[in-house]
Amino acid sequence: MPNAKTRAVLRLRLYVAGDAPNSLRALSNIKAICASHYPSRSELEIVDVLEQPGRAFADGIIVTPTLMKLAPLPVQKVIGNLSDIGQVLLALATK
Amino acid sequence: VTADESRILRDLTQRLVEAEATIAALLSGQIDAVVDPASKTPVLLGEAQRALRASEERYRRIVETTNEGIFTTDVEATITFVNRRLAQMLGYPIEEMLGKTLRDFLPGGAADVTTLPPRGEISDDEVSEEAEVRLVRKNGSGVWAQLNRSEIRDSEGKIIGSLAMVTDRTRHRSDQTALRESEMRFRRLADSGIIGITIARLGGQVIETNDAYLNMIGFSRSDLSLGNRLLTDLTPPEFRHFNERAKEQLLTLGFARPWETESFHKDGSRISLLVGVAMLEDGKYIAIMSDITERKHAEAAHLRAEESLRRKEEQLRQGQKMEAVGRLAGGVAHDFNNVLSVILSYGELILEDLKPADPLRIEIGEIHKAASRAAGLTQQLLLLSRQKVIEPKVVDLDEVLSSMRTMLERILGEDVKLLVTMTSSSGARVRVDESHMEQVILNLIVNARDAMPRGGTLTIETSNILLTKEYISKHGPAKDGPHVMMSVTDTGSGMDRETQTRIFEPFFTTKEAGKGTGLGLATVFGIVQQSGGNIAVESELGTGTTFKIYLPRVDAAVDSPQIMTLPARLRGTETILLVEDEEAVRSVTMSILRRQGYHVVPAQHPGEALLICERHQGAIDLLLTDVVMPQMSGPELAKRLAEMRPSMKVLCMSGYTDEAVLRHGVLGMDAFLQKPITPARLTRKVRDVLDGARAARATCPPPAD
Repeated sequence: MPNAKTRAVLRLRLYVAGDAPNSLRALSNIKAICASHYPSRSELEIVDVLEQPGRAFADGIIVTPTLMKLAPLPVQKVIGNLSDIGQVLLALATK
Repeated sequence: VTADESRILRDLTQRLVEAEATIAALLSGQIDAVVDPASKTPVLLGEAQRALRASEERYRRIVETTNEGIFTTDVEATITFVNRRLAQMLGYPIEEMLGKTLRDFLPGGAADVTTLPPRGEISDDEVSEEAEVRLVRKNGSGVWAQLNRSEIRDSEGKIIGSLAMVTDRTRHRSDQTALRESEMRFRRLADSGIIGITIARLGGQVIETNDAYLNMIGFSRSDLSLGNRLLTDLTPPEFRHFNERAKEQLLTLGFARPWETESFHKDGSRISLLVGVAMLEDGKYIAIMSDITERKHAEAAHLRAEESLRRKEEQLRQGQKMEAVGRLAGGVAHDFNNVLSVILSYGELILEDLKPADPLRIEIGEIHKAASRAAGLTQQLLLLSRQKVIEPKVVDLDEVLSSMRTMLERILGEDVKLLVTMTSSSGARVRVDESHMEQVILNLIVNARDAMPRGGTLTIETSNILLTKEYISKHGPAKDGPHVMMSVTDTGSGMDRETQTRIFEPFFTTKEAGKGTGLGLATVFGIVQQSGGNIAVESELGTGTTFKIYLPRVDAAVDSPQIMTLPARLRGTETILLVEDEEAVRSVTMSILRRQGYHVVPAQHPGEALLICERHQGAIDLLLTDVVMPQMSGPELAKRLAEMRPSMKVLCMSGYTDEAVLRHGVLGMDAFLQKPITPARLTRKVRDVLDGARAARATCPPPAD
């Protein structure tokens, strides 16, 4: 059912460490990927571990930047500054 | 394997994959921070650390260089941080302030502000508290300070302390002192006499006013007080709507935008004011007024000067346009005159030959009349182009008018009354070409008559006046000094402004097609300008039109009119060398002269003429030559022949005369004949020149009409 797939909303959460360079790069990369591949079908939440270290612990995040795909399931993580777009798209694709 | 075992296995695999990815990311430098699971605190790595330090450094610098005092406290209100500015403000070293509470810096008794209100709940809105307090310096002196405090929360939202900004208000207090001083200065300004100040009720009753305003308007304080005279009464009616608008703005905005207005002075004159008003309490307002009368006068003078400049430019443009059209017309007239010479001459020759009863006489007569009219028109064109020879001499305009009176009355007809008012005995002497002046008068009279189809009055007036520089700046290019003014006034239909600006343009006419040439007033303009004068027109629709002509007055005696002695005979047997490049003109000229008995030797061009002069055996009594010819001009030819045949007289003829030709004429010619030639004029002129009549030198007879 390709229609259901395209309609499914992508929920993402990106863990960053303030304005650190890799965090900023990861943010701009994921924004670009969402805009080109999932226009108006994605939600992105940004969590700064410097402000909310507790949430990183809860999500089992050890390093930043880390991208979490929350929906659709299963949950997937991509670690690093997300400059490898192929790797990111692979993780986001619904299996 | 059980389902549980399978789940654990999958989790482990997943974590292994993540661990590998994490290590790979770490090795490639893509990781900023590691969250320490034990302390749950993030540890920044490498570049991120440096970046954060730089960012912290930025904040630290802001905190250290700001003009605000800053301190932080923990939940017990113990001071944990103090910036340099605050320490400086209070005169303490930073380390002495740490560990104390705000209470330690307050005079006894003011304990309320030292602790934050207890707020256990997690809340998103940050409460900022403001208070103005007096802090005590280390040396015991006081500082007025504005305190702005906000809570500091941890990542879970729990309050962990407070941050406070401390602003030194001592300067603000002294600002208030400055305000009082400023008020003093304002009062001095009010008393200084430069600015008018009035406090009044919205109804206009004056409550208080300063001397400056009284000086501006000339009234005394008692004139204005007790509601004797309302401020609105001082405003001329056409400016009162400004007062109304200001009142509306006063009521809605509390002030009104400054405006320029006028006010009556006690002596009845008016002054210009710049007024600004602002609302006071209890329906009162204050008005500040500045006298701008002088400035307004200067502005008006400036506008007048600009208007005068604009007029002058317009006059100049008009002049240039006339000249351009004139030059064109002059060129056309030149060719036209050759054609007319032939038509007129053959017409006359044929008429001479025809028997008195010949029916062809009428037709030939019509041809001749038409050609004569065309010749008259050509004369006007030449006048316009200022290329016609003019013969200025001193004439008395009064005498000219007197001699024309009968003719003018005939032109005007019975329905138009003619009034002529002359100057007193002093006379109206000007230096003009008399025939041109007659034409000016005729053209104006004809126009006036056409403007009064149902009759009216035509007034011609001459007077001696002195033109002032002021008049000239307004009305145009004339010299200042004594002038003769001649005005021609009709009681006709008048003209609108648009028409008035165009009447002097060549070919502009308001008359029906075929009735006017559009050259009449253009010719008048040309003649007047050529005579060093100036013409002005005043007209009102339905009332009439006045033309005023100003000509420089001369004191010299009137030139006595030349006695035109008719030659005893027009025939002759002398030999005439005729040089004319236009074949038709050459042959008709030859016919005319041969009929009178002359021996004519024709030459097509100056070269042939030179040859003839060399070879001709007998005497050549007269050189009759065209002026403008391809290889050599007539005067040049005359100059070259003068050595060979010194006794030969020279008569030049041309349909086109420019200044160069005229100068040549004075040097080399015995006489000049303006084309178109006619048998009568040609034979008379030839006879005059041959008889050596000095009076004929460089003159030209009035245009044939």
